[in-house]
Amino acid sequence: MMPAKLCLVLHAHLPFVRHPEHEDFLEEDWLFEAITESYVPVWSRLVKLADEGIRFGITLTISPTLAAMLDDVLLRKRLHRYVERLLRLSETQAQVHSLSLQGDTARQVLHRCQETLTFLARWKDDLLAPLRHLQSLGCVEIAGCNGTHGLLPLMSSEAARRAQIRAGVDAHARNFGRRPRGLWLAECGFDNGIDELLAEADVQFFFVDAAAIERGRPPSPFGLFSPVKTGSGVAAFARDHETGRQVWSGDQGYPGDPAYREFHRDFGHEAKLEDIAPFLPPDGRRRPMGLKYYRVTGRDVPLHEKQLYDPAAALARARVHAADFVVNRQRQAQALSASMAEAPVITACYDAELFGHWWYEGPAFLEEVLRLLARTPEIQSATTASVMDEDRTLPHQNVAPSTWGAESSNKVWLNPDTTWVYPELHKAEARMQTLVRRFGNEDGITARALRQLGRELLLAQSSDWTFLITLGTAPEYGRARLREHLEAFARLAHALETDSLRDGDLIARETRTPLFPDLDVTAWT
Amino acid sequence: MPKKQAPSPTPPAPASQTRTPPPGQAGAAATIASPPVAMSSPATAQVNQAPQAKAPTPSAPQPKASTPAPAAPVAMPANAKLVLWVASEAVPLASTGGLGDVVGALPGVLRDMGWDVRLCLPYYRHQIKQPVSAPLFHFDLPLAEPLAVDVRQLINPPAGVPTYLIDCPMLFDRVGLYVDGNGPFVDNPFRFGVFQLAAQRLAARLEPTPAIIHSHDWHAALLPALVRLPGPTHEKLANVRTLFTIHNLQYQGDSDRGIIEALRLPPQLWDPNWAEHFDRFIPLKAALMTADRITTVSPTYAEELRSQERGMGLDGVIRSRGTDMRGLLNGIDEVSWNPAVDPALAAHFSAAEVQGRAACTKALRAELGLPDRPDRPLIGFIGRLVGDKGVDLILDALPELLDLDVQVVVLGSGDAALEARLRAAEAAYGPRGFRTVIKFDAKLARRMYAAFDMLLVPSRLEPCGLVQLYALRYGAVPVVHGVGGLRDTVREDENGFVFNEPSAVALTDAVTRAVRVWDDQIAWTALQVKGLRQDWSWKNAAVPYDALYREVLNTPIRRSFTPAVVVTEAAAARAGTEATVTDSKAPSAAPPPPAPRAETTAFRLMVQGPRSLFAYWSAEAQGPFDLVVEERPSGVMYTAAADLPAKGERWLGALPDQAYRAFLRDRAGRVVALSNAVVTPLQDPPPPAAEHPEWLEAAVEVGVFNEDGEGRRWSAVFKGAPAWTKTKDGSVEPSWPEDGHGVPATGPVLDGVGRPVPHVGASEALHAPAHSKRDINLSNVSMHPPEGHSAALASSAGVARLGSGSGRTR
Repeated sequence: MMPAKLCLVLHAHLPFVRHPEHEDFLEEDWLFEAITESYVPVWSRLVKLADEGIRFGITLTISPTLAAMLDDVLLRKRLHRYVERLLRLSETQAQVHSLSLQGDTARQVLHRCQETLTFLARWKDDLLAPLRHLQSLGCVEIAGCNGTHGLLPLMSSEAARRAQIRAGVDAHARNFGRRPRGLWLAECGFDNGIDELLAEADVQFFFVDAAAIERGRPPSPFGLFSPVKTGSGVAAFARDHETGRQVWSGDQGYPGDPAYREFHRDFGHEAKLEDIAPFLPPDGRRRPMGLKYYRVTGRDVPLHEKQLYDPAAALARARVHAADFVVNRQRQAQALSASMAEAPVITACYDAELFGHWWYEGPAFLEEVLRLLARTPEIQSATTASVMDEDRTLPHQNVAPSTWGAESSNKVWLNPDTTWVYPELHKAEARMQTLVRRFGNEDGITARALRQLGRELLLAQSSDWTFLITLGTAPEYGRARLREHLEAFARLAHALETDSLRDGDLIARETRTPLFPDLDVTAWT
Repeated sequence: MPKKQAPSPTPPAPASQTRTPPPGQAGAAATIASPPVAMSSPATAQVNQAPQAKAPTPSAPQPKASTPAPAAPVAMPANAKLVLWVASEAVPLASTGGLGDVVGALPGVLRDMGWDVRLCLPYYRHQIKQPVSAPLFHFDLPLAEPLAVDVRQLINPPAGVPTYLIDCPMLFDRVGLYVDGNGPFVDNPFRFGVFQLAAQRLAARLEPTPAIIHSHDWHAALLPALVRLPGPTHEKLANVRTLFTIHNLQYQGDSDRGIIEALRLPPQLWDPNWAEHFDRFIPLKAALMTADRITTVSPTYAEELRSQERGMGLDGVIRSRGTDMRGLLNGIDEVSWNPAVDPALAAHFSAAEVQGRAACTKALRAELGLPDRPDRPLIGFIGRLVGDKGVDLILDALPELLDLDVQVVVLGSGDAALEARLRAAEAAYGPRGFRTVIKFDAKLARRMYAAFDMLLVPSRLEPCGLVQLYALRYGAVPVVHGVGGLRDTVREDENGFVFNEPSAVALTDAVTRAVRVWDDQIAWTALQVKGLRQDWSWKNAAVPYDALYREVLNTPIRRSFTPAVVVTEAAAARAGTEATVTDSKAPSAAPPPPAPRAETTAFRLMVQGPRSLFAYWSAEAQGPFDLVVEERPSGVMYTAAADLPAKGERWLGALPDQAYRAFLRDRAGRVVALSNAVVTPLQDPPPPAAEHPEWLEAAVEVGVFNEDGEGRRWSAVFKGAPAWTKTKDGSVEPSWPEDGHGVPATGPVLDGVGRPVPHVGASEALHAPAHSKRDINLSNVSMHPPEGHSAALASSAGVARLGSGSGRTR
């Protein structure tokens, strides 16, 4: 019997946040936290596994906005500054606490900082380089993502959807030296007809929410455990429920274990200001600093009653959880294999930042899972591309419109708090189309202006802004960014229409948004 | 991180997790502290539209208004708004069911919140024995046969709610309220018609003038329409807002057209936009079409009523009301239902002291002759023995339930066949611990609520349901079928157990889960206490009503459809023709001026989810506009909203797996904007072997969901749909496909409220006699006067617009 396949998919995405106009910008820390806590810890472990010759397969999706930030000189410089600050803080704290649990925690963070710097040095500060390396080995597959993580189903036209997809595919080809075989649709947002656009862009497969296949017609004989082939011939992989629940669920998920690090108590908010002042940016304001001394302790334990984190105990726990995860996959594989002619495929999709940022011990868990799977005959870790390469008959299905949001619907991004966004976006989408039709054949400053218009529109379409508004996590920032790009779009469009383009204005915007350098605007026609 | 959902090391405790970011750094700090949400279901911000309840404190005594008030009820603040409740029953005066419970309880609570609620009921002399006043008002109703009615008032009204009684012994002094031993009274539509005509006049005479008329069920469903139509109270009640509550959609009070003449009702009511429905006169429809807001007794039931299975033929109308229709839960009388003092019980208990419950259980076991087995759970059912209540599921599951080593008890009476099955089951399973008590015994029921470990509520249909609330209040953990109000009040792991399909297997599974928890007595007691602590009082249930009253007073009156000019039957008879209704937009009228350019108009539909659409528009033309929605392949077309401004947005109810398109129509009937088309996704997995529907395949193929401002591609998929083309003057005109005019390509033809109508092809429609049934309800689609070929076809639409039964000419 063929072993079952476990396709782990880690979706890495951050919206494009880069503020050269400020010396320090709080929202840029999102990137630095993700790099130091998630990306480097996970990617360095994958490199290590590959170096050791462990057989594994995993799929990483990297959004173009994230890739552009990883590739940005200014942000790299600021990353070093961030790591240095944390390194000095943890060094000081390790001395203060010496042989206590706090000392262990501080030393662990210190160690992580050093490792990050080593990793950055090894790859000459180019964080896309280790990914290209892993991809060339075949154990890691890098899949793409649509342009700026815009939610395709809520766009007003086929042209707008096509432009997002094409921008994502082109950026990916530039970043990773090959066109992506698979594409992550932002928020797993699928609507009728999107598969046609993917086929047009030579994409071979994409990822969907479980509902897409569960509600698709005709019902797939293998349920979620085989990719399906859509009408356009592009395959769709659906997220498995069980693997999602084990890791994500607040009640049953691993990250809620009492031994694990408590995310919500950060030294930056608890220390005396004078203790952390030397490690803060010049504005001297408190912020989360990435050093956290407490553990989850218990489900209903209030934050102030949390107990001290013990890094060694947490690591041991992560190994136990990894073993549990693999045993459960074995069972799942056995149960499925009994009823399936082909080897079942379990697709487990997660946000990449879950491992390390939210769930601090996640990278260690992941490494252990991959190691254990390499020794488990019933089930193998595999890239989605390798599944596509197998001689496998995929059932035909029209997958259903869906997202991975609440109720598999568009609710998270379209609700009374965000309705104002869409008339504006749709107006810009239509206007972009008109402008491309009118000026698409020109070159020089007109062509540059069209590309910049495309960038502003793409950036305005990011699903992150409406998400931040809906969840109330950073609604002001979300609104501000929407306004910024829509206004820049409107000003530039007006200038183009009235033949009053000014090179200075254009350069100002181009330097603010250094991504999609050779954006192909013909997608909008 | 501005990322998806953060699984958190500390499961939900949002308040403690949201640290206050340092000033000026709202962004990242707040983001990172985002409360954890399971990835597969990121929380959606739910907008609570109803403002928070704030009850004015009753202070000033009620001024002696000109309203005669023999009883001096609870004093109201001077500025209290008068809300007149009109209903056919109320406890403790005269009641047959849930309607009476609500009408008996809620007004008193709302009075405490500062609303001057008064009640208007028929004077059932046979049932209402309390002392009443001399007549306050006397009305001679100008019916076909004039009829005199008096209005009296209760001297000592229950709960201090001023209660007006419509006194007409000929109609209301009977043995039953609606039925007697010979079945329903045949003159019910007439009786309650008279009741409402009197209530309408009473409302106009009250001081202060009522701010809101809140009417209930079909017996009072004409009122929201009557106050909007020309008549004796038109001016006086011009500003009154109307609320209508559906307690039971099954009874719609329908009759034939003759009732209009008998009651001398405004003839405009005989119109699909008012009360006419397939040649029947349906009072309930009048309320659904005209009331400013509609409520029903639970959110889930409100959702269920939008579906064809539960909508009783009016689901289309209900869907068209979108968010105007709300589900508000009922409450229970927390004073009478209090296990700490209830005299019916063997022992008393409360959330703080649950020990007394064991004694109640022991006593009940003794009373029913069951072995005293405190080590095993006692499970029961209390309710009417009818199909809807699902007691047959318990019977089917009985052997498996008893295998769990539990004792099962059923109390109730009703359907003779079910009673017989229960008796047989007791004979067979009595020794294994099954008891049945075939009667209705309120005191025994209370003892049972206090004694059962679990209460089974396997109802197939349950608009709100009270038994589960009584059970929670008395510490019996409910095990319910998740429909209607049961779904809204009982949650698995929170206060009970829920199963999702009406089958014996699902019921057994749920009980098995419950018994498993029961085995851990600490966990079980925790679950019981959670239920005991919940507040299901009317005081709590009244809060959303209070908010809704304030909301409705702060929003404009719903514009009803302008009634057409009416030629009375008598006049028609003189002219030797059938009664004819002439529309103001007759062909002879001057052609309307050109509509503004459509290019500058944006109009989009967006799908939020399987049941919800969002529409926004921005038209250059001057409003007001009607927003008309076309649903395919069901073929339903309806006006979703009227009186809309030139720029706006609207949430619309929808059904899963349908395609939608909408247009804006101005007062002159011109289509000024046509939306894109969308399709709603399925909500549940399709049945096995379900194929992708051809229409959807075709729609994707021709790109109907993309950039199709003229709607041409839509009509390539849905053959019966007109495509709109822009004329030179910029207005929009329909062009009909060659085949199947006005008839959808697939599925039955439905009218505006989802009832199938006989198929009428285009040519038949053209030549059909004037009184033929409409083929598809295009009554909401009036279009530009067409020319040539399209003129002929559009006049087929004209035929299609004919109101059923009445030969309307255009």
